[in-house]
Amino acid sequence: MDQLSQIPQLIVTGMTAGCIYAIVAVGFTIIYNTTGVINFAQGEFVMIGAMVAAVLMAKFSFLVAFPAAVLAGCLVGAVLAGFVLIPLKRAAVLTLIIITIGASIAMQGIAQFLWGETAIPVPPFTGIPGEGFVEDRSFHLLGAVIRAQELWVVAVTALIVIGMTLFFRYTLIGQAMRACETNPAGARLVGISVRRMVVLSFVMAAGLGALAGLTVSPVFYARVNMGTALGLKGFCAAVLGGLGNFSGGIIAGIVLGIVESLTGGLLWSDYKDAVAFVILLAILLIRPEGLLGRKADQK
Amino acid sequence: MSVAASPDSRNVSRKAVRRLDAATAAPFVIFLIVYALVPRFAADKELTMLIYIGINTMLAISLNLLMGYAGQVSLGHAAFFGLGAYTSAILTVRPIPAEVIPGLGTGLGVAAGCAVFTSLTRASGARLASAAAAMVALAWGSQAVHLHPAAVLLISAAGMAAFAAAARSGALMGGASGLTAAVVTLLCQHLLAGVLQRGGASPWSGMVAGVGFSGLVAYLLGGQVLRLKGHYLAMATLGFGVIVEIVFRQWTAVTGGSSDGIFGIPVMRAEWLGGIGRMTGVEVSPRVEYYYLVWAFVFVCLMLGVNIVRSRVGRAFRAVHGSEVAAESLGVDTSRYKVQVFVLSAGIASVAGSLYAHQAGVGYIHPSEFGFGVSAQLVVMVVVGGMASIWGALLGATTLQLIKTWLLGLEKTQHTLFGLTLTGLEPIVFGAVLIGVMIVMPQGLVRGVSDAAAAALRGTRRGRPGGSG
Repeated sequence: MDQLSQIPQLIVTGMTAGCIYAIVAVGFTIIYNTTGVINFAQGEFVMIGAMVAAVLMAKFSFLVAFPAAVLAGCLVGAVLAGFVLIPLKRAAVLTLIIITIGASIAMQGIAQFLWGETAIPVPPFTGIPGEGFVEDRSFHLLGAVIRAQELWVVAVTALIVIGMTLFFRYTLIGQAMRACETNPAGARLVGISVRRMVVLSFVMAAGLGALAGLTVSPVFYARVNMGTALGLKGFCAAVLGGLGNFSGGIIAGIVLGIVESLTGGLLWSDYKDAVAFVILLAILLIRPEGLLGRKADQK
Repeated sequence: MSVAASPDSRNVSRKAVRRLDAATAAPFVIFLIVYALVPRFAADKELTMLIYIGINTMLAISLNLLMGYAGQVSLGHAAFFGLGAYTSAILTVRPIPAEVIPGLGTGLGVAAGCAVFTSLTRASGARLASAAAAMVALAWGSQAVHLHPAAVLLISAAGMAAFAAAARSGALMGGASGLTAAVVTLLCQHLLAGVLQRGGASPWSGMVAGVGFSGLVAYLLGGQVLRLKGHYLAMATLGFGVIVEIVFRQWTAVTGGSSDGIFGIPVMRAEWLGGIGRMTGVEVSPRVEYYYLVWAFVFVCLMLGVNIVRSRVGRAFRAVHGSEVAAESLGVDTSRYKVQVFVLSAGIASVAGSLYAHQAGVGYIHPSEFGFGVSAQLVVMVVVGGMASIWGALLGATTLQLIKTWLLGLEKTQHTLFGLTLTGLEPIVFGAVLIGVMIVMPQGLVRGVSDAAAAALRGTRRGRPGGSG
């Protein structure tokens, strides 16, 4: 009975984590839909956003820190796009996977070199102003404590989802990006610069990742090694939702966060982190096209 | 690999083969001479480094067989390395608590039963999962009512036969797998229980057990996972690696968890190999002996690798790499070959793991030594040395170890750059090396350089030299 009363709280916590998995999944999807590449460094974009925001918040107002964090993410994304573009034309899947893994290792290394290993606390967006550590506002709902920051996370996720859906469906650039993955040669024939679209997709994915990172950092703190786990779980979400499928990835991300939180909280707290990967393996083996996806090509 | 048409050309190709053999053997001869003489010139510190290089070389060879030759990505290879290390460390020093043994026995039994079931019926996915569930149910059921072992065997075999008949997989096959499951379960729970509870097995038997266990896991996993391709396969192996590391960290009762790890692991001895050192007039310390032991294994792996690659099996691997569809249409049983290379690769990695655990003067393992970072480093070694190059594995492992040692030296001397102390450079350099090699020389150092040399040779010679490894 005591355990059952925890369920609302576990769902709230899981939802927050799930939103971040969802945004990471969106990042994967953007790059995958434009280039057909799985970007293993996606989680590091989240880390960069969180770390830059955390470091700058100590000295400046959020008006400086937030745009700077997103810009830093975009910049790193552009650099990575450059590395992927050099061999993209003749490269095998393995080559590109390895390049993004290399980038992920290097980015984490550089971040650790610059900022050290300790977790940095970040003040919440709408906290109660006061001396020293800023406390967050919180609400009670059905026995669960909801922090204001968690609402911010959900709101930012919703905004990103709506924005991305509109972008890819209705804008010319969004449609051009989708064309690049479907048929690069054809896209080039109708006058789309594939190169530019690839760079743009990396910049967008990185910017979104950084945004997710800075939004979530008041809840989870900012750490240089936060990216790996987030990236992997975001990928789980992307696969669960069907690679290349936006809404699928988002729903799967949130569900994954909640399932993980519930199984961790109620059943096996020691193996909480393994839950996502067990689900991933099961899905890959039983339905590689994802739970919500249509038949995907397995290249 | 050209097909001889006329007697004349057959003669030529024979000659080419003989020349090829001399070219193949020469590096091994050089290797053996260097191998025997190194301890005369190397201090303890260098020997330690060489031991690490040897272990990493074995890992790189095993991953290269899988990735470079068969074209199957694995981002979780450290898991098999860890399974080998943990199996032999646990069997030698860490008694398994009595209450874990029934479950462990059942788990192993069901795994063995599943392996038999898939190999006989080629069942996969949901069908295999339901067979496993049936075996688990039978095992727990018969344990709960405390039956006589003979009755357990009978019930398990009959039950699985009935299950398989119902699932249209063949009653005989089901019966065989049920029998295997029951036999293995009973073996672990009764005959071997004493050994498992005591610990204190010899390192050599630990190594053999490790290979058996890793091979079993690889067989079961490979049969399922290797149907996936590209990104999906990479992610599935990665997921497997992460899960295994979490088990090492969290299953404290058996693995010691992440706070303690396992310590006091005995050294693996091979006194007769120390004899090589005595012949060259070196005082044989445990470390010298261990050096000889590790590099003897490296030698075997190199031989094995080079021979497999040149064999019918090796050609099948490369056919799978080139185009799976084409290979299949030519009659290559691609899925069987893929599973075989996966099991072989896991076995070699497991041996490397045992050697890692039983090192002279260390005797300690920790889950962090078998995580995703290590899997990624193995990929770096393979990539740097060159995909599809057995000797490249040696080069890749050596290069990486040298870089590591150099960076460690930099950290110790407290160099500074722009006011920042140079620490934790390893990931930055490794990441950069990985990206750089992939962009500049995607074939790796050995291939990159030898291709350039071959191109130069081709310019001076009239015909093309036949065949290349």
